[in-house]
Amino acid sequence: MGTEKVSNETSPRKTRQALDFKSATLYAIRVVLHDADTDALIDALKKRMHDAGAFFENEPVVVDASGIDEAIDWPALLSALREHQLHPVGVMATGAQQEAARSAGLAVVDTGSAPVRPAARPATDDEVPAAAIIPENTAKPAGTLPPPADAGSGDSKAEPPPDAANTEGETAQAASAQAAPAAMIINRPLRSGQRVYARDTDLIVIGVVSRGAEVIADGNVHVYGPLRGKAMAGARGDASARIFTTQLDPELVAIAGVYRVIETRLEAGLQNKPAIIRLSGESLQIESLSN
Amino acid sequence: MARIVVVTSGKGGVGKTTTSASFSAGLAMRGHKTVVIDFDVGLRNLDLIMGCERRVVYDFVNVIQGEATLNQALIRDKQLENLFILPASQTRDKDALTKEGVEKVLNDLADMEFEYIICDSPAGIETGALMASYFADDALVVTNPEVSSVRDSDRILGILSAKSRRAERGEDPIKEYLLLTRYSAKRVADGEMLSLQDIEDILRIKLVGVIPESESVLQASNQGVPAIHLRDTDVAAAYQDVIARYLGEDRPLRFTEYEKPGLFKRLFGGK
Repeated sequence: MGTEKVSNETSPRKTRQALDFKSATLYAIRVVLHDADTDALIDALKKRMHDAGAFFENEPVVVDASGIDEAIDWPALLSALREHQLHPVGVMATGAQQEAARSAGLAVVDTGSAPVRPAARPATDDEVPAAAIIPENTAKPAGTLPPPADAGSGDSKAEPPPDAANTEGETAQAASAQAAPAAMIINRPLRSGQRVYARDTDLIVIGVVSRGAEVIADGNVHVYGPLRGKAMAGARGDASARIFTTQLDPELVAIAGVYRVIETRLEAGLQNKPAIIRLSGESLQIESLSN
Repeated sequence: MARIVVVTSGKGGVGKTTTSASFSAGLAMRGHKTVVIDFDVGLRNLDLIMGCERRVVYDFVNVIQGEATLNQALIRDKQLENLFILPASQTRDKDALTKEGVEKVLNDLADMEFEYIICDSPAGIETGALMASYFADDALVVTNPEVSSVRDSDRILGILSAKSRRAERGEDPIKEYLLLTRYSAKRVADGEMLSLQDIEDILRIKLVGVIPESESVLQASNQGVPAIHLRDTDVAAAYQDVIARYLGEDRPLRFTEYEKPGLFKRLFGGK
């Protein structure tokens, strides 16, 4: 009778989600099968792992059975792999082979050919991330940086199945990582006041970057010519991005929001010489490229 | 087809109007029908430098707004029959310059069989400067051997490569020529001024000439005569070299080396 008084607990306005779906890029070992015979496979595996020592241990593994038509004893194979501390996360196979592997609990993946990368398109002024200049040691304002775009790192091509980390048995999830656009190449000098932003990819400039010019990329920045302006790599948070140049003389360099103004001349080995700039922890390292 | 040449710099006071006057006079001397247009609406100077300030009846803005014809506005130079001047308005402001208006005037001038149309740009990167550069085929980027001038010239080069009609249409880009003015070889040797090589390294465009610092320039503007008419001066010679190089001839660079005067000269000759 009557309404029970429900305690009015103040629940937090924003309920934190218990989990979230993001993209990841995975590096995996591809175990290519050349035989269907279980014993032969297990022996070969034993020998290979013995020779390799601990090198492959604990690596995620994709089993490539695309060359085998005969039936494979999947449960036995998978258990053998696990015994060697190899973690099967996917299979490459077609037809019946694929079905059999699925029943054994493997996800079908397609490492296929390198996706054709769409050409980079120039970004408009308002797309340039504000995160490109954040004072050193200031906490990055929450919410301005989008989730780290690892897909932008360019080296991963054929090997890693983008969704391998997710639930087994499911096929490629709907939001599979989009192929990063091809690096943006600028083949003219960049003058004072000009600014170029390579979104989701690397920027390559062939020519001088004058004082007062800005070169920005979500990926790496390469300048084949004097770099005299401002260079900002990893503009949306990729701390592994780097700045490369054949002639170092910049006004300012920044990686993933950590920046340094170059007020005085750099040491002789670096000034106007080929160099790489990378982020190590929270500080920028400037290293010579020449021997 | 008329060749449209903009004389620009970004920085003010480096010698654009001086150069426009001498450059157009030099082309006219060689027999080319040339017109020089002052784009500095509101702060006109070209008419003073050319010595025709008392003959201005109608101006560029009058023509754009249909208040006068080109024939009424154009002033023929007293010394060179091939040379004409289209002065700027002193009373209007730069908003009177419209792309369509400017384009029509340029087309009409081409129809009048002018071979060269020299556009004297105002300083800065606003409307006047943008209008003067927009339709150009060639650009003389006037630069002093001094840090702010070099940076402003770099900026203007960026604008020329991005905001011109040629850039928008994807045609061959504007041909850029570097013109160094007020160059003092002595101050360069003393390390006070940027050298020719420094500037070429920063700007990286083709050098069309070096005009030495000279008192003749002030004399010329006081007399209302383009400096190139003052024979036997270094400035006149330098401008003649510029015309020659622009037209494709080979001339060695002059006025760029400093020779320390001998003892006698220093004792009796002055600086």
